[in-house]
Amino acid sequence: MRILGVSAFYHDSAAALIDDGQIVAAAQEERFTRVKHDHEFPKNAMAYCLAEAGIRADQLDGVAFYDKPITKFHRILETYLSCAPRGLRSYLQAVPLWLRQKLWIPAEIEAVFESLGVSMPEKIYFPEHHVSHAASAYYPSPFADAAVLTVDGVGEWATSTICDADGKDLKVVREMHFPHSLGLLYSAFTYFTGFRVNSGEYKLMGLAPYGEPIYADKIKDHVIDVRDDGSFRMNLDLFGYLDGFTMTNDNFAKLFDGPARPAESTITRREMDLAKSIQVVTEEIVLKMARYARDVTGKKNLCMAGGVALNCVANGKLLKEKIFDRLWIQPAAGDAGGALGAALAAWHGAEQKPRPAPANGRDSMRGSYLGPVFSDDEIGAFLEAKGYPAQRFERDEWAKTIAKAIDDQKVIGLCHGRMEFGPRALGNRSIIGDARSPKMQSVMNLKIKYRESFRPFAPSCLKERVADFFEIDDESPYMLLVAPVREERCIAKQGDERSADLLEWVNRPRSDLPAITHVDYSARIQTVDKDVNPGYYAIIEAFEALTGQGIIINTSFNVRGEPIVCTPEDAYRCFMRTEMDRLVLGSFILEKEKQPEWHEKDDWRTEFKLD
Amino acid sequence: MGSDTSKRVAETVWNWRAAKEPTPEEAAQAAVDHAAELRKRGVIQACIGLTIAAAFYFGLGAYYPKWKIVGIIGASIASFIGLSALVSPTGLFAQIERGIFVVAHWVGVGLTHLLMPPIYWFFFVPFRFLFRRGKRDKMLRTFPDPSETTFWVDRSGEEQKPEHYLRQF
Repeated sequence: MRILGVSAFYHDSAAALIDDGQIVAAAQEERFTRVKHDHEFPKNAMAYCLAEAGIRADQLDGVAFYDKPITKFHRILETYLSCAPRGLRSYLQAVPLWLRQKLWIPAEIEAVFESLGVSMPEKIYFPEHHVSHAASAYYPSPFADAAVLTVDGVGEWATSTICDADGKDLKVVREMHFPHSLGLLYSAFTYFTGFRVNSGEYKLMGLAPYGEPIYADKIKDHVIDVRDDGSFRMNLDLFGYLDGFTMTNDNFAKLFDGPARPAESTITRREMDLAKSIQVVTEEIVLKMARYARDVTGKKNLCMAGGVALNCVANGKLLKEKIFDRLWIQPAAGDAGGALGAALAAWHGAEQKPRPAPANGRDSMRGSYLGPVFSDDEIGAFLEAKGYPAQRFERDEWAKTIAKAIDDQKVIGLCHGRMEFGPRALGNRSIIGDARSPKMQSVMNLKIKYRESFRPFAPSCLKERVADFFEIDDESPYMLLVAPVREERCIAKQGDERSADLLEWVNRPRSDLPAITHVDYSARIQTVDKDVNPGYYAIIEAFEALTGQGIIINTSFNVRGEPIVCTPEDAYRCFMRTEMDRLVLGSFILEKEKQPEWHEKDDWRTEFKLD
Repeated sequence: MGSDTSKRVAETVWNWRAAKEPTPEEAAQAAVDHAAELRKRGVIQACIGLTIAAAFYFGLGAYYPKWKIVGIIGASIASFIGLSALVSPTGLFAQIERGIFVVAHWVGVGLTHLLMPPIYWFFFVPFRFLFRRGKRDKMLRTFPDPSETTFWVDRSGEEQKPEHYLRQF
């Protein structure tokens, strides 16, 4: 039985296909349309999933949408009912859109099927939003049973849930309701510190280590009232998201010493301290929720999903606290992963199909490499047709050549294998470089990614070597855990860093791996498994053979505001627009110096809206 | 992965062969085809307009002569659109079409702002005040009583049946 999962109309639309419960393909729509966080109905991603499975749309047995639209609409009407007469402008914008499009999901799906020239499957499933998240976290996990914690902005009414999962059964046992939401609280601070909501949350997390938690008590006294079990109420007098277009209001600004930072303006000490403060409060709440989830379910394993589960600093704390024996987080923890969860919930929940016991302690996400791959024949034909000089290598030489280039301080764009599903690039659509280089962080930020200088880079290391570099004894295949760099590798702080200029502060070496060591001596780790991604493993292994260090920098293959590249053509374009030195397309390696001059009609920097 | 799958995927999501730059001949042919398509559309629109204008002039106008003027205006506009499509399909006609879309969009926005607020004022606002009097607030705005120990909603007693997945609510 083949079920296509779909998430759409909020942000990060995606499609995922399962066949008898096995994950076949999954991809976000943004990768095909090249519109970051694209919320439109994911017809390109749907077409890709069908092509990957080699089936026509009329060979599908069902389609699963990732939430219940009527319940969601009810929540929106109730919100206006509680705010009126305020909220009129928001109502005039939201309600017509709902009446015109969002309430007619079956018709939207049917239109896509009609455009493919086939009729619609008989069954359309509508799991609850948080059940979709929970299903995406539990069913692919390596656990036979688990507690499941989902925390995000909002679904229908739920903003956080605790589920009890065993075999095929996934049962919601507790939930918290809108408007009291940890995801929205974090987004409110994201907005207030001048970053884009639903996009800049990870920047706020990256900014936190620069600050001190001086506002944490104020947040707990005036903004949020947290109980011992992690449940809470928010002071809604401070927020604007119920009846307006902004996340926070004037009362919030009064409480936190002035108005919100305008986007792209200078980041001050206040924003750093706010970032740290909300991070501390978020971690405290997540830990309390996890303890309560353990008490309620009695389970030893924890699965997590929802946007807040992408907060890898909180995840690292959760792992360190050892509240659960094991932790597994869905790599596409945001709304995109809801597409996969919806399909899995339909299979196990609606169709009541059994869930086989996970084998060898492995999850079934296949490293999250669930997107399209392009053959060397296709890439070769493309390069030849376009006249782009390239050299083709056999696997051993390929890895050694790339490793040598990294050692030579080259910045390399890597586009090979299946594209990753979820927000992280895990070595198949990545930009890589030398983690030992003190200059690499600023070079990559300013000349390659064109993004804010304070943002850290993450390392990829061989799975077997992780304990040599970091204080962690678990694998982190999806770059969802933060852990400290080993003490013996670190360099002591030099004076009061907080008084230093931000750029100077960033560039101070902190360890013998300066490019991936954040200002708080932590790193967001990806462990690479030979069985899951042999190509990427071979590169790092060859680098280790050359330098003695089985670790490199890994950042997503894109520039600021651009979705991660999908096709070799996207990769080549990004390569030529930036100051990258080498490009790897499948088995081919391209050198920048040998490429023909790159011309574009317009300034590409205006093509992507800054995130 | 099999080469068939790879080929199929590439054709679906990365059809670079089809996206190649057209030759000057292909570009010229495409321009001719596009102009022909616009001409056809303009003529159809003019025919529909003329039919409606005729209905006003000969139908309604037969009983109420004042309506003949509407028929004449309609026929004039329809003829102008038809002629512009025939004479300048990619220039004048394309601009008229764009103008009509802009006007239609703003008419839609205007109607929304005209029709939706009364619902807000006559439904949402009074019920909001009624609910406030009845102390019903689904948003749970008030900062809670310190004696409340939890805000989790207990759903463990709920039976979550398979049929639940087939409903949109």
